[in-house]
Amino acid sequence: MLIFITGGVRSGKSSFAEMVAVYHGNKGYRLHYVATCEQNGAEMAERINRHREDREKSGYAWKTWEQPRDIHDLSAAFAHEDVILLDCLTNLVSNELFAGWRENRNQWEEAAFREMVFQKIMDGITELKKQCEVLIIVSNEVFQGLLPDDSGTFYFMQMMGHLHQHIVRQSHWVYQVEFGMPILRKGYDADENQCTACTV
Amino acid sequence: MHFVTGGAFHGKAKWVMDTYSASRKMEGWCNLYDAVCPEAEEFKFKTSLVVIEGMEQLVKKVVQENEKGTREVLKKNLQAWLKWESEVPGRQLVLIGTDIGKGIVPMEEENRRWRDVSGWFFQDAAMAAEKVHVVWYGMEQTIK
Repeated sequence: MLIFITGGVRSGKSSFAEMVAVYHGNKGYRLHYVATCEQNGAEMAERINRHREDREKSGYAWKTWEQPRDIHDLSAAFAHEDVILLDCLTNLVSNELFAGWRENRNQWEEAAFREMVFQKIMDGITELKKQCEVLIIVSNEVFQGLLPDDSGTFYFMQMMGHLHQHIVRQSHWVYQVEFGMPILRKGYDADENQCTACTV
Repeated sequence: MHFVTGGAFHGKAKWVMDTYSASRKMEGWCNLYDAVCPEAEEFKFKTSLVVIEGMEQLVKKVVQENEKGTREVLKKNLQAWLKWESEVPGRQLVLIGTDIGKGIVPMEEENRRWRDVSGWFFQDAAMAAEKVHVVWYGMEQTIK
């Protein structure tokens, strides 16, 4: 099953996603947390710690994987009864798309490279989804204002939009979290059993 | 007239293509990202379906060319399009516009006007429309 959760920054989407994971984990599945942000700087370290402590306090056994890119590499680590929470797609895309920016390799300017990154991420998601019982993907809303002038941000937005469209189409459940409150955008609101029966 | 809006890269044009079995290559599909919109007097399509994609691009052009009265210039365009639709029974007009109004206030004066006038023009379009849909990552929400 694929569950997609989106929202603005600090909207409570990660906390909600953890709740959803625990809900499914309650059935006896194992919980995995795939963190995609690269640890650079104290601010990020503090956030990572806060989320990690929250997960420990939850009383459930989470296994944390730090995977800023190449998520398909993880697939062998999972089993069919596992619940995977991928947090978040935004960081993964940024890490993949802007790989090599420190060396001034502006690969994202090339359409072929962007196509490759898109395919790599979608393949990674498909791979993880095949391996586990429930895959939950968290992502960020980044489409709120004028289009950016610089090409890097433009292509980043374009890729996020295309990925969101593809993931929403494949998802059984889609939530948009606003100020801590989840809004169901797609799925069955009453009988979840209907949903576990449908395959993608 | 059917007005379709939503954020950038949300699959608005694709949704219109699926809904109306249309394509960007068809006659009557005006892509304002690549071309300019026919002037109000020149708006004479022979097809039964006309899609105008990128309404915010027309707004940008009008804002750049006019200091004042931008909303009226745009309304004149809208009226010409609606006139085309009403002239022959069975004609359908579809307008697609990217919502650019949900970010922080832009630094540049021109971008602020672009954003403001887009909001007003989209209100006028929604008011004149029979149907309005917001597309969110490929999924539509009916708001009118």
